[in-house]
Amino acid sequence: MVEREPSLIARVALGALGIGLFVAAWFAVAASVDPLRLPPPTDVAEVVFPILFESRPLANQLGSGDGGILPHLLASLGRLLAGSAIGVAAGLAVGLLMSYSRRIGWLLDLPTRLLRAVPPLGVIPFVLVWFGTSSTAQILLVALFVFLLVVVNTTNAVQNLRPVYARFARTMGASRLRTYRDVVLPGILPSLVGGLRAALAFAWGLLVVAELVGGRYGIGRVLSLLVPLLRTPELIACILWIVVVAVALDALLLAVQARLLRWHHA
Amino acid sequence: MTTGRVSRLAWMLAGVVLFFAAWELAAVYIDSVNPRADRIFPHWSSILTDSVRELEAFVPFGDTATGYGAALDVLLEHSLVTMRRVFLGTFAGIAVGVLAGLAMAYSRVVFHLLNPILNLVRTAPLLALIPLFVLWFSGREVGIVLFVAFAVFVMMFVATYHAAQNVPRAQRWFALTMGAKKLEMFRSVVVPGMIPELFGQIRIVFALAWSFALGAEFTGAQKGLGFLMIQSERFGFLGRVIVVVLLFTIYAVVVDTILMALRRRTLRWAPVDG
Repeated sequence: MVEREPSLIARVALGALGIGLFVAAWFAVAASVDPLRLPPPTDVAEVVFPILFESRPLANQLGSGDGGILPHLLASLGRLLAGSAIGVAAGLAVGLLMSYSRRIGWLLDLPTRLLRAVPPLGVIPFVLVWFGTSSTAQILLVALFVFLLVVVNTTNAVQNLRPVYARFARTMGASRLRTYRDVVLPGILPSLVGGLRAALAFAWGLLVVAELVGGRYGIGRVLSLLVPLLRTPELIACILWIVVVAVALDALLLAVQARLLRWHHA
Repeated sequence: MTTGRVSRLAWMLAGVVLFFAAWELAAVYIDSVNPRADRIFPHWSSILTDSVRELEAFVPFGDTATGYGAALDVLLEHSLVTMRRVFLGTFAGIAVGVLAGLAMAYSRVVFHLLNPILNLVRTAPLLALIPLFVLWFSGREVGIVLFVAFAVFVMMFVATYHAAQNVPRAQRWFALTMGAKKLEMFRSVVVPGMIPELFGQIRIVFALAWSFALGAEFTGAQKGLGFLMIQSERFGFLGRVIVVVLLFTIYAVVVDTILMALRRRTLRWAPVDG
């Protein structure tokens, strides 16, 4: 027998029950371990909003200020967006060039594969040695990661595009360049935007780690200050805000995707 | 071999040569403008000799070994530490993640129970959880393994559920029509049917597991390849970092190659591109 889908009320109730069980488990674990390790959810709820605008635990810590974590969060987000923009633009350019000219494609094939084989976090020490703890280092880290992903996505997407589209345009007299602009570029857009969502989600975590290891400002830096102070409620609150940014960013990209690709039927 | 293939090979080879030559040229240039060039942008010749040997700096106190032998011992020891973390964490994470994903695919009740939490965790940047694990376990071994396991678990959980859902409905219904019980159908149709897609996910998860382990080792470890890298970076010796990164990359590629060979062997029955 095929299992029947629970009714809407049952589904909402189940979802609420799941969250309830999670919170209950949290309370239970918190009650049995050192509160420095895991405070009860109520402690986190107490600091989760105030920490945005004021953060006493951060005061007088190197360059962190006491204006809350919001400026740090926004600074990190700015780096993510700047790095991603550079990465997408450069990656799209190189990827298109690699598929436009067979020879350039062959030439850059192995170097891009080699760089892709390096675990993304392995690049962090490089940008730290070359650019120190500046935001240039972190922006370049994100840019390089997004660049490599976009290059691979672009070349794959062009390859997977049904050849009949480009051939049709060529038959109708379009130049190769024109075909690329009007047929290939829109044609690969759906898979590019899909790949970008995954890329940005990982890049956000990558950036946090880079700031954690060697940053002077930003949300990762805040995390690295809170750990030695054993400020667990504030730490969890910060991580919650990092998750909120990730969810919001993903929702935004989804909306952009829907708008940009309204002509596309999946 | 046709001329087309020869020219393709030549261009690809040229690409590799160009890549390493570009680094070497940059090193020559930086050498002429920066007195610390041998540290921050070393030549290949010194990376493959001096930088390897300098890893002797990491021999434990009291050990007087020096030279290449000591350096190789250091690399071997820290490699084994990192590999143990990666493999333990990844295998545990895959096992629990697949089981949880199957439970979610089997029962709609379990699905609706876990779905809201899973949706939140799925979009969360897993790397941002490292500080929490550091704080919980004070950089102890179990914390690093658990972090890798948790990150892998989340990814496999989602992937398993989707892989099970992607088994064509007609196949599932056919088994039920023929009189199979739900559990029988699940065991003999859904589980084998999702394996090809799952294999692809396992490759992705393994590739990322190396990064998860690195992230944890950067922040809280006293051993491991990530520890070697971040210590070398602190003192500004990029050559040593490169040696470790190269080694790391080789491990990741070897594991991926093994996984692909395993896929070919175990999934002979599956259609290609399936």
